[in-house]
Amino acid sequence: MKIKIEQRVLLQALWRAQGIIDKKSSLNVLAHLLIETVGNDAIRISCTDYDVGLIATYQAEILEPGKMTLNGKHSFDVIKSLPNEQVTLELQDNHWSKVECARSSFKLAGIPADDFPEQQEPDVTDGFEVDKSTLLRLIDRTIFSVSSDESRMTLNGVYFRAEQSEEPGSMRLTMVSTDGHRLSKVTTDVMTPTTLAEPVDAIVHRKGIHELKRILESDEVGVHVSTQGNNIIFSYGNAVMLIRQIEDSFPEYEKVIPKNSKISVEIDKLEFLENVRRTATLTSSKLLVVRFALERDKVVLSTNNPEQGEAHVEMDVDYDGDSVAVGFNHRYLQDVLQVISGPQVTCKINDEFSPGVIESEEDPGATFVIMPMRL
Amino acid sequence: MDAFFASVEQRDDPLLRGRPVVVGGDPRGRGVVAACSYEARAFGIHSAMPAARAARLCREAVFVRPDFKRYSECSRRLHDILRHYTTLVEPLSLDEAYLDVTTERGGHESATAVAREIRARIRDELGLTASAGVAPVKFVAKLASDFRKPDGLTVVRPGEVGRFIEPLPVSHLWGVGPATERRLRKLKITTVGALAAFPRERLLATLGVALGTHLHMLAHGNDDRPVVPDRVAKQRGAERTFPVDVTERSEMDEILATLAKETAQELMREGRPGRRVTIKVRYPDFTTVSRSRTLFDPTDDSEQITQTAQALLRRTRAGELPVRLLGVSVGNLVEAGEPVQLALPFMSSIIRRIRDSGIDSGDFAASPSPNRCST
Repeated sequence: MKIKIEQRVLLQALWRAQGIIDKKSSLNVLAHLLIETVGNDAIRISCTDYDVGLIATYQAEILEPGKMTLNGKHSFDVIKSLPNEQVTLELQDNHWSKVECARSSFKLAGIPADDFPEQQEPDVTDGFEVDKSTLLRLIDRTIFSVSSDESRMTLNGVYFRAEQSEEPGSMRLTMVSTDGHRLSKVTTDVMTPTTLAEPVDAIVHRKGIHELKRILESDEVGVHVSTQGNNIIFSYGNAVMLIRQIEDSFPEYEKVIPKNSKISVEIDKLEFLENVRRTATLTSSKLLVVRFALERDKVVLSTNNPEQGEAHVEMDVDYDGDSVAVGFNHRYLQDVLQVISGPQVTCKINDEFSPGVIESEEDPGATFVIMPMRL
Repeated sequence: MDAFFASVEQRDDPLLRGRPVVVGGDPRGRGVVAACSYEARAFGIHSAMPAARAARLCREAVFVRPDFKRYSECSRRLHDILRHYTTLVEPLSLDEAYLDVTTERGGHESATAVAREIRARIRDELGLTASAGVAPVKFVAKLASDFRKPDGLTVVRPGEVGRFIEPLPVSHLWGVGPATERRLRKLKITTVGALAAFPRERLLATLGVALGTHLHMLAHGNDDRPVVPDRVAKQRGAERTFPVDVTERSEMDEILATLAKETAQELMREGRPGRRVTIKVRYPDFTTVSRSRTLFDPTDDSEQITQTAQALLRRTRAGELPVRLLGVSVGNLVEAGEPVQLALPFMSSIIRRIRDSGIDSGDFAASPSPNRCST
């Protein structure tokens, strides 16, 4: 096999694979990507870690058809160092490959292309279209509260649901994530001509969501969502990403979102965020709690860290109820305040042992629940 | 304390008094001896021996399953008595501690008077016997306490240290195991006295600087370690060295479960759950490895510690290789009064489900149909 391809195009292809390939072991099949020629003017590059797979097609000049493998990390480092000119890739004996560009040439170790796990390009005729910014907004506001505790597998992904909305011609998308301490739920309606035969209902693994976010942020495209077998498939432009679903039931999240709250107070979002950060300067990795005390016409944020000192920060709010104080992990507050839209947020509290809720009028459909810390 | 677990059993059950009592695993199973009464020791039974072997050594031995709750309670009362005399109490285990009564000794005239009263109070208040050693330095005090077991008191005055330790075999010294003992024997050193008389430079040349300096110092009755009160303990745990290497993984799992239970009892007794579970494994060639996992939430649950420890064991070569020591510890403990993160209400059911299905990270069982929100 021998092809000619623009350095910039190849670099983009390799960059996309970096989050998926196994970078630790260079002998591992999963550290490699597979390149196959398609017709006489394109190549298909695929990589997988069995949880997330990516298949994408790029323009290239085919000098000799065939297939070969490249070590994902080493080839990325090499191609990144080259000027934006034509790169020639040629399969050598022993499954090595020769890379030539301008007056530089490299020989890279590889593995037999037949060792590479077979990946069928999925059929994506079903499913629905969604624009990139809608999907990114859902991801951005849920990804931070996904659990990374591997013994709680069911929480290691974002719960994603797409269903027909009551409004004709529109679809309702929901993403929910929780790590057991907090929960983020975002719902949005999108106009679409598609009618779904049955709802899409999946727990999408954290790693897949991270890769999807990374790629969506760099590409200007619409996204097609579908499911096939055990995978949820996101296709955009020239690429298809397959993410294995976590096969388990997501917890009944609606039950932990408080329906009514005794106390509700409006707070200026940026001032709140800034004050949480300010108070948190005296917290440590061992001591993450910020005391949120609601008093007449003010909120007092404070910390008391025996090793470093005490912080006391006040801000004005419109409140004339009973005084109440609840402890929260300051990182959880910051995570929410960084992603929620609108100039004002509404904080809803019942008592120091019950979940607190943050919402915003300008962010309908988004609900963030945080469990307190016992002070 | 003398034969601590066994003595508690004999105290609480008059039928066991005067009889060989073995506390530990089922003699028909693969369990090990955790403790045994002096009557049982006369038959050659000792702790960490397989229970089945103990049963063969002594047909009339009574086997009792350990009840760590009662031992912990007794241990707590013991340490309360000790702390009555000085704040400088360094616990070594549930039933052993160092006390520094140089300046602070609860109004008593001498260290010997303190030791006498402590032993009397243990007899009166706990109904158990204890042995004590009084000496100017830590390691001599420890040797003295073992000198007249059970129910003995040995006092070694500052001028008598040499006379006390010189006749003892070198194996009694802290840091002399079978290998060092063999090397010393080649130098014709078998007693502490011979070791003290041996030229320092030659000892260092033979044993290395660290061990040589250490043993030379001990042989001359010097030990500058202070008594460190244990309030700021970073971890809690238990370990066992086996007289015969353990080869079967099922047996190792059982031992880990016992160690986890002891650890959990200690954590519960102090009301300080911890986040980091560590196991320690020593192979027959003395190489020692440890494996740790940090949990998302602090735990003092023996079941969760057991499962984590058993999963960690699978990341070692234990089973493929025999082991001579196993240990379990929990670190990163919650400080007294530290704010505790509360969990969303559904978490208890998730944890229970994970536990019931025996699922551990890495081998998550797939359900036949994907996801769906469920109870």
